Amino acid sequence: MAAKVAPPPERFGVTRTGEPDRLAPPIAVPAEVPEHAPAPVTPERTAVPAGRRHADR
Amino acid sequence: MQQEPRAPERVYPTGPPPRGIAGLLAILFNDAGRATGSASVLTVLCLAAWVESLVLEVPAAAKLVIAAGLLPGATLALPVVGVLLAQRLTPDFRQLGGPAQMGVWRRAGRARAWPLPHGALALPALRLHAAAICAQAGRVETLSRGARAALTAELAAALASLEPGPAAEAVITECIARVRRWEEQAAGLPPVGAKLYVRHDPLSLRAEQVRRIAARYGVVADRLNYFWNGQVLLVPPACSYRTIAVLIDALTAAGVANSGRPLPLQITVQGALGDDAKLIAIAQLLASGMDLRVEGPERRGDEGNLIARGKFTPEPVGGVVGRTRTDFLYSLVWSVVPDVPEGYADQHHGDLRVTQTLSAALLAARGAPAGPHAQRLAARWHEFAQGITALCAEWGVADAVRATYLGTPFAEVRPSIERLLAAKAVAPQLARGARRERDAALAMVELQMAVDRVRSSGGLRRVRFGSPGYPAGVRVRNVRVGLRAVRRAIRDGRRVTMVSRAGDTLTVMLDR
Repeated sequence: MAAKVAPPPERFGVTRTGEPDRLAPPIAVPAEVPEHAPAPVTPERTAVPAGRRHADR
Repeated sequence: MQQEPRAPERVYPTGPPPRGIAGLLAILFNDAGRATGSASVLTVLCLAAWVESLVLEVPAAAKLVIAAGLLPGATLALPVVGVLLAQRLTPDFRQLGGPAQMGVWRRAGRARAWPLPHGALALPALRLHAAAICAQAGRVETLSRGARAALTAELAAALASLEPGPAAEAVITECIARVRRWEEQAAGLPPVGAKLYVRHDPLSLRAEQVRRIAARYGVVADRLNYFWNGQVLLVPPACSYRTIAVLIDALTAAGVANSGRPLPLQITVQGALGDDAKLIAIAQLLASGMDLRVEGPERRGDEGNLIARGKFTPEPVGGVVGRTRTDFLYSLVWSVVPDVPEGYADQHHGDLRVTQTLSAALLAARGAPAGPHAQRLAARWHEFAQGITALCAEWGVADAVRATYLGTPFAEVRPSIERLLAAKAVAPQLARGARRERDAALAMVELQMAVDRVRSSGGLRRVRFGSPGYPAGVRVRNVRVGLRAVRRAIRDGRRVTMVSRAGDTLTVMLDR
């Protein structure tokens, strides 16, 4: 290619134009929950189980 | 574009690791240098045996066997057979290096059902748990080659400090389930792969070291006819961007790259996306929080710019795949730059996700595959395309978007790319606008795919939507009205925080 993003500021003398580009978490395929389950709430972050390196992104 | 459905069955099988006499011969004649050495040693030994048989008191029958059988067999037939057998080794195994290849060969007898890349048997963590991994081979064999490579990385990290036993078996089960879940959740998206330009001098010792590291994960290194010079790692295709991103993370963590400068990442999507694929690349470039500059392809006369046509038929991956491929050439892997600004170390995750997801909508807009689901996705693509085009027109760079990128030499589109980036550099609003359009399109395509998957697995009658913490504001509508309201909220900048399903009701929670 092509267009290459300039390296970080100071060290390479390039200015940033704004905040880092962050995406919202992906919308997962909903799992079936019981018909009369309580209303869903946003889950809190929990500890990563032993033996896992990545969060289940 | 031409597409054909493929059953999600075993794809690109690697077969068992090389073992026995045939495996040893294949390894001994693996490459030109080693084949020459092996043939020379065999010839010297056989000639010595023949001369000895002439000098010493040896029965005439034995002399005949040595002269007519052993001598031509060992000096001519064995090397030919060895070279032919070596051609059957997988490309990644051929790059593994002699000691590691011999290590795999020694263990291959006990790991005949080995479902991962052959080189993975050279990783200490996996070697120790080979029996437990072989026991679950059936759940791994149906995965794409990219997914098996990513699974290798996940297992190597997760099993590093575990002894064989029930705990390790549970971890193996969990890792396989996780990778399978990523791949299954990508149903409906076109398969994705990548090329990671580590850019070492291909003839250097460093390049050889990187070849051997990457081969342990089933990744092949190459060097010629790519968009940037130097060594490139061919990341095999998978169903999901997550799988590819995790594999790239594992490769960089294993030390394939020199730190200090970002690595160009070529994202390959299966399917003929056409020139409109430029809108995905342009949106991501404009949405970046950094200033940009343009560097052209290093191969003269190259037609690669922001996008390019894949030159070869893509490797089959389970699901619906095309016979063609479209490449995106705008992304960089920043995680190898020590002082990368916060939020950029995982930039390639976002690039892969946006590229693969919006490519699904673009493919639908191009009529492949057809059907109501595709029509709904196509509508999302048209909204995105109109949004980005209108945004660029608003900032005076409409011509840069109208230019034809696919198949055009880089030199011809360079002014267009520079105009886009120059406009962005002086107008932060342009970046914000591109993010808004991109985020809305991404959320709507992901939501649409989730909804259609729920529809296909059972009845869906109502949509319940609102914000957590505000039960009074949660409304229930029929599917059409509810989804329209959710899409309106997304277009207004609200984000979907969670989607769940209970019976025939889909709940979509939005931020406030």
